[in-house]
Amino acid sequence: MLIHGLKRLLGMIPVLFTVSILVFAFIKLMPGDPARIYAGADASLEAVEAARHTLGLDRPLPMQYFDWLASLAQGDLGVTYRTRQPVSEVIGASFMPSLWLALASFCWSALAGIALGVFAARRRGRWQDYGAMGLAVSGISLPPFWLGLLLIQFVAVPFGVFATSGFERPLDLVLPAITLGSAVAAVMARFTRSAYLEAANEDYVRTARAKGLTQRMVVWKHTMRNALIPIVTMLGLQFGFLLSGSIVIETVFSWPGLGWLLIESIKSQDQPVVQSLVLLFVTMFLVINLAVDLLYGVINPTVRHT
Amino acid sequence: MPTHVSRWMQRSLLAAAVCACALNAVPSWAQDLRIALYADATGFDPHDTSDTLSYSVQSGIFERLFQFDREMKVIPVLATGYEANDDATEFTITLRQGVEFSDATPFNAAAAKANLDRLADQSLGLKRNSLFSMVDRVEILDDYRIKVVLKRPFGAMINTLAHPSAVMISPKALADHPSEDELRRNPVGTGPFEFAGWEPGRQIKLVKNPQYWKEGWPKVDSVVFYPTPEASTRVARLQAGEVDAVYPLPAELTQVVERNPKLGIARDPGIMQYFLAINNLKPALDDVRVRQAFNHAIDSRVWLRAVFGDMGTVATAPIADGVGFYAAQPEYAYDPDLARELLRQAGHADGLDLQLWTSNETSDVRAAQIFKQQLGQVGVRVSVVPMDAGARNERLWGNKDPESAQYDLYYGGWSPSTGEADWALRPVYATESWTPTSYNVAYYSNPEVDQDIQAALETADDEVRAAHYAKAQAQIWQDAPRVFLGNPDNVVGLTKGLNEVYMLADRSLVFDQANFE
Repeated sequence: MLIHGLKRLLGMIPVLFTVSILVFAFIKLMPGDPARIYAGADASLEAVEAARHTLGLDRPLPMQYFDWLASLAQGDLGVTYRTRQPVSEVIGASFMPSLWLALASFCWSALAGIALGVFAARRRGRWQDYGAMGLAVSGISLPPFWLGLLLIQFVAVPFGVFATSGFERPLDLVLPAITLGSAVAAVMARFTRSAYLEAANEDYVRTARAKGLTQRMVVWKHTMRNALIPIVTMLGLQFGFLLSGSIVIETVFSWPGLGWLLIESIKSQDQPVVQSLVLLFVTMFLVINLAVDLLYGVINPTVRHT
Repeated sequence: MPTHVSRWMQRSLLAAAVCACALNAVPSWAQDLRIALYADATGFDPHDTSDTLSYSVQSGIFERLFQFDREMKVIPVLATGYEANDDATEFTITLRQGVEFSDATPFNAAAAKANLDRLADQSLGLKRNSLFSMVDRVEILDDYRIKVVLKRPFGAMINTLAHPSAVMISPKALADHPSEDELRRNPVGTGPFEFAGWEPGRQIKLVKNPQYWKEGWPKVDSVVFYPTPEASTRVARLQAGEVDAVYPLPAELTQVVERNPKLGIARDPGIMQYFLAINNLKPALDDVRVRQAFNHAIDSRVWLRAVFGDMGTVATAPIADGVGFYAAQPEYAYDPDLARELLRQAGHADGLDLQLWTSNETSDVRAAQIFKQQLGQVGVRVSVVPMDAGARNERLWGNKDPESAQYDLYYGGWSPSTGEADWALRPVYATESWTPTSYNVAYYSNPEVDQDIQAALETADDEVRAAHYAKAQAQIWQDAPRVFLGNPDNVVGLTKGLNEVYMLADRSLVFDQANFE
């Protein structure tokens, strides 16, 4: 198990290396001129060229790439164009707000989604099923920014309990977490329902029932445990999605997280930050996938690796 | 019983009186000014800043030798006056005495020289060095007088010194933080507020400078800025009482704020002029009759109403009326019949097919649709091409060869940050400024205009300069290198009772004299 985990960790290195080339190439291919944005809206050509030199963008591309890679290997992500702060510091400061928001959204939406899915599956074809799935479909189709704006306008402004935006105290998590989590809850509810129904049709569930096990044992131990593998995979994916920060929701709620940082950096063509962020997102997904794989073994002993 | 009551009342009155006295002794209790901003700052070294938002925050910490007042007139701040020689190559500036930086370093000729030298030193690679490339050297005449010597005549020098980047930084801070990355996090100036911290994405805090040289100012004890990118969230913050001001207030949300009895707006004329640039090198568009036809075909009032809620003025000259040396021109009346006639004379009776480039911002695309519809009425078939900033940078501003420029019409704006005619005319109308060198994206060229723009710089005599600029404006207006649209107002949302928080014509925010009623 441990060796398997280590092997998988080592296997991430070539993936990350390939991704670093792709990320670098895509960013350089993007239309636009970071030097012009850096120098400002009314800068002369002289000033733009000076900025290009300051930023090191006048050097050949392979050199720029290898310099980036070399400092990356030493843990140095460079300096942002926008604020001249170390990139690691900027990303570090934005990571925690996104992590908190992701955890808060994940906790409620995973629980609510799975509970709703099991509830609907167990009342399959009845009005409760249609009601729950109707709710889930509206959760998926509701544009998150609109839900966010509604919450701000009709909850935050009139009652004054929750702040309209910003992240000063834990209470500020509530509205953005509701907004960000609603789509995840909806996806999880639909997914859980179908996974549960699939498992419920299996022979071993009928056997469990036949041998007279309590309803609770049948539902949670025999059906749910077997339905969990696809659900956990899906949860992992959703968590990765939540963790990379939501550009839209972080913008609507002025949330100082990774999504906000990403959009600010793209707007100002802050290449060192965009490169590092994309690499970070890829790493996070790889780590989450690894964690999910290892979790399979916990859930289902037959998947366990030696 | 009555006696008890009266005694109790006496005591209460006494207590109230004591309280009142205490309140009088401290004229106002701790008062914070909270402002929602449309983005975050990029740092706190104005010499190395190029965005208006950062300049706005910095203006609480730093002061310049000269500055603009609410009417865009240049007024002395850390200077008290100046004299220029006739050919505008030497400016002798008298400095204000008795001013200290907030770290107790005195402000004097040496401090001013240190800052101007830093701005002029092209080897430093600071964002605003190029604005001061004409400075040859700065001489100290005595403790409070300096002489700025230029390499070439530059009549707009005092306005350039009023540019938001030309601030005085404490020489001690400059010496303590030789690295730019550190200096931009440790700003020390002479302004009404001191820097008290920056949490990127969350807030920027300034606190009152107790040693501020203007007696009795500032009136608020601290200013906190909250970056709030989404406009409707900014307004929600104002409605919920979480902030006292929003900068800026977009036109489409102005009514929401005005309808709320607890809120108000501060509306001031802007100097950003919007235009529809015409590619003067393209066949058909190189004909002045065609360009004049476009000016008659587009009703700027409709544009102003639809895009800016009718807040602003339509263009009456090639520069906004708030810019120094502005000279009003005869109106291009909205007249589709005349436009069709001019197009017919130019040989385009069956119309033209043109591409209109614009940003992909909602309000810009809306404006482009209006132009498409109005030009369509005179037979000019327009296709709108919205582009993100990156694509525009590459295909429009970065295009190296004017002859091969692909666009026909471009919707944009220009704001002269030095507030006077040179920066309003030269970068956008002079032949030397053809993109990519500068911002004459219309590729307009008229040697007479070039001559007047240059001649106006070579003298410090304002009457002579005014005459040159009036001539240049009349000629540009006649040549119609673009469709002149208008100058929208700048709007800030405020809670009732808050005064003196407004946007200057260059779109920067002013709050140094903010006070609550």
